[in-house]
Amino acid sequence: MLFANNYYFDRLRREMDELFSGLAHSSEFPPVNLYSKEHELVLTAEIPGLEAEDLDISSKDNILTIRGERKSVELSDDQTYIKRERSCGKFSRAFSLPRDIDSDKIEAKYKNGVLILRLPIAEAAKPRKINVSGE
Amino acid sequence: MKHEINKKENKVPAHTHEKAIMPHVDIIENGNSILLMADMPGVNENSVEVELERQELKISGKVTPYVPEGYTKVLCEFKPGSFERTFTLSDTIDRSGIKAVMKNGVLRLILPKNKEVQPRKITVLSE
Repeated sequence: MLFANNYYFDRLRREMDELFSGLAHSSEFPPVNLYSKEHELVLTAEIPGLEAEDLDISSKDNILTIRGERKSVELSDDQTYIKRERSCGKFSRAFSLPRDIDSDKIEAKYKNGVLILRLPIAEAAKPRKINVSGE
Repeated sequence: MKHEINKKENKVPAHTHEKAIMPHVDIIENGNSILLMADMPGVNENSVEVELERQELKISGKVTPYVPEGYTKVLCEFKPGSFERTFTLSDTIDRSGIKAVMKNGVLRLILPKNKEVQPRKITVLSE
C-alpha cells in the first residue's frame, strides 16, 4: 500500500478531538450551527461537494428542512479505495425553529461547501418594548 | 494555491499553532495515479495549501468565520476552524505532475505515479 498511514490512530485522534471540543455531538448529516439575534436566525451547515442547485430547502409551519444528495465517486474498473471516510448518499434534516420565521424572506447561500441560511423573524414575533406610563 | 516542493526550511513544529481539524478523505488508487479527495468546507482555492516535503504530503486550509459578531449561539455541532492532515507517500509519485483543484469545499488532488512503477502492458506476439 502506498499510504503508510495508521487508520486507527487517525480515528482515535478524531474521537479525542470531538470529546474535548465541547461540541453538541451529532452523527446527523449535515452538521449545523444556529445563531440568533433580535431580528434574525442564522443557520450554517457544512455540506461539502454539492452544487447549489442540488440543495432542496423548504420551510413550513416553522419546520425547516434541508435535503440533498452527496453522490459517491464512480470508480472505473481499475480503481480501488485505499481510504473511504467521506459519507455519501441522500440526506435530510428537519429543524423546528424556535421563533416565528418570515418564510418568504429566507435567504440561502451556498459557498465553498457551506450553506448559510438567513431566517428573518416575522414582524409579529419580534420583541416589542412596552412603555409604562404614569397616570 | 501555494505549491511548495522541497522548499521549506526552518520548519516550525506542528504543535505551536492552533489545533486544526482533520478533514475526512477518500483515497482512490489505480495503476497510473492516486486520487485524494478531502472535505474542507469553508476553504477556497486561495486558502488551501498543498505541501510535499520528501515523502510527507500535507494538506491544510484556513476558514474565515462566516457568522457576523453579535449573534448568540443556539446550537453548535461543528467549529469552523482550520483543517490539516499529513500523509506519508512512497517514492513513486511524479511530483511534477501533481494537480490540485478546490471546488465547493472539496480538495481534489491527483498524484501521478512515476512511469517506472506504472504497470506496463506487454503485447504477446505469436510467431
